Amino acid sequence: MHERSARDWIWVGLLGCLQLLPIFAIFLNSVAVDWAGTILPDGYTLAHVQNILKDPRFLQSIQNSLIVGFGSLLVTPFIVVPAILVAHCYFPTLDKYLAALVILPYAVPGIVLALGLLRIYSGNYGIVLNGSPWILIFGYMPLAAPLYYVPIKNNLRALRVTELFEAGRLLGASDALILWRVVLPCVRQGLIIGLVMNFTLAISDFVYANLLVGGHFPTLQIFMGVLNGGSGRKLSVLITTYFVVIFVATAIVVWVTSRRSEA
Amino acid sequence: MSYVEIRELTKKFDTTTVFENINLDVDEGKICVLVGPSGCGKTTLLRAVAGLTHPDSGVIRLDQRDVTKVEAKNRGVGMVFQHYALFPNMTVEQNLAFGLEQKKLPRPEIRKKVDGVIELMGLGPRAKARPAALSGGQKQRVALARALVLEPKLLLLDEPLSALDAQIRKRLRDELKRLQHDVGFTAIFVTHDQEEALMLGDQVAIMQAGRFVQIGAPAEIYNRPANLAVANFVGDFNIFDPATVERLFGVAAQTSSWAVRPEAIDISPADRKASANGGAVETEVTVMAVQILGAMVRHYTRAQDVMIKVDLLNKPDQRLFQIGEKARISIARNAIAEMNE
Repeated sequence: MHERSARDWIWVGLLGCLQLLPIFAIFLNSVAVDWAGTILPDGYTLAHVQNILKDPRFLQSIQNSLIVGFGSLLVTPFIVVPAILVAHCYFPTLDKYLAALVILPYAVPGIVLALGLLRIYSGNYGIVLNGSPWILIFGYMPLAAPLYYVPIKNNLRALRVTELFEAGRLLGASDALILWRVVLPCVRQGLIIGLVMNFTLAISDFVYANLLVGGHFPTLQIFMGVLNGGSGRKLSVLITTYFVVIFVATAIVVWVTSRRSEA
Repeated sequence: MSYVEIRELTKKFDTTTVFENINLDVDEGKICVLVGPSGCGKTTLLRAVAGLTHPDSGVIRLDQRDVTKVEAKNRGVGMVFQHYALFPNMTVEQNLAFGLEQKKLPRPEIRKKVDGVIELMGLGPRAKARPAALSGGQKQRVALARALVLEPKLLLLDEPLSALDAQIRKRLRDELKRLQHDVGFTAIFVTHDQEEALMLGDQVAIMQAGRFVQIGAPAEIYNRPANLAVANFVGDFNIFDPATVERLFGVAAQTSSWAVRPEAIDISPADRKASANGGAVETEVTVMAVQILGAMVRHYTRAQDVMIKVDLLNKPDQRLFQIGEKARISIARNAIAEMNE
């Protein structure tokens, strides 16, 4: 392996600083007394944090976002991941169509997709989810599909799946068991990336949340939208909270999936 | 009755016939090597025996039981794949235990069997390693151990050594032969390497274009190829058509070609009578090139317009012929395999 030099570390450090600097600046702004015309704030206070924490809308929005985020994680991977695995393992000729299908939601303008989702879930087809968090959970599913598809497919391409199945069958295992005990752990990295990005999408989306549920189910992003144009300090507190939530949720996802694969 | 019986087996993919009405018998405790060029149908036949491909017609019997329509996992067959097919997320031990777990054996028994096969294959130091941390040779040993630990009725090996470099390949070949001697398993081994086939097989079946062109013991295949195609495939035979035989050796009225092994030809200086016994045929040649092949020294000679390969044992005191030197070659009658197209 290439031996790392001091120059490598400097580059990595600079890159890390570049990525962390905006987050750190937002955090400083959230605890600043006043910050204008100087490199660092004039003073520090937790008053904005306390104000936000006392605001019932904030706690409600955090709760709603977590419901949508974890709700999406409880539904989406159980539908999307098996579809990816089955297409790859059993229908390789159809897989190219799935590849095109999963990116389709990103080719459609957001408003069109939102109206389509409203139409589907407003009872026209026997399903009524309008105004509830479920419409967001199911609405994010097509948007999350490529977030699982791309990293998991990359993992699958490195595997000789057909041979693994054949070896497993000759050893007496069913296909479902081989999928569960061999294939799924081998795509763990792709799955973790998918889960984290799925959660991030669900918790950071404003467009669909605003169009599909709006004030009926205010998420963190909708609450941010409400505060936008008001106090910059409060907004900074919200954004800092958002980063903390993302960080903690990512850590939980990685921890849970790592434990599962070691078991 | 043979231990493995293949009767009138046919397999077609759409309009392409892979093999048609082929028959094969393998005795218990023996290794049968299927050898042939790529695309001749040997791997498809192996997969049909494993239950991974379904034949269109015919019967496969294993230990007197018709397994033609039996699911792969219930055939009692173990298989070693060319690219190992080890489970990448499991350690060596876990890979070995996987099949035993499917049989619902008690934990202590699984442990005992896994430990036993690890010792047999010399995998002890790597037992906790995952496949990615193993060398190609180690991976193939694990794949073999994973098949053997289930004590299969029949072991199938699909070109298991072809992805390895020459040194490891040679060592694993020896190990496989030792294991077969120690454990006494019955195996069908697929390869396209004739040297591997002759070394490993108790029985060698040469397959060409979906049919067996010769089945026999290695010595028989080596010394008495059934036809020119086999002779060309099995090795470095010098092939002389009837006209050439008459022109070079003065033997007329031949209707069949001659196949002669390079090492079966005696070569001596042109001014000395060749040391052949009575009834041998002789001709004069010119040495065109000399190549050291390790244990043998190959002389490329020319008699009139015909190239003839002659091998001599590479002994320290061996006289090597010089390029351009005139020489005399002699072929004993019993070294000549006569054959038709």
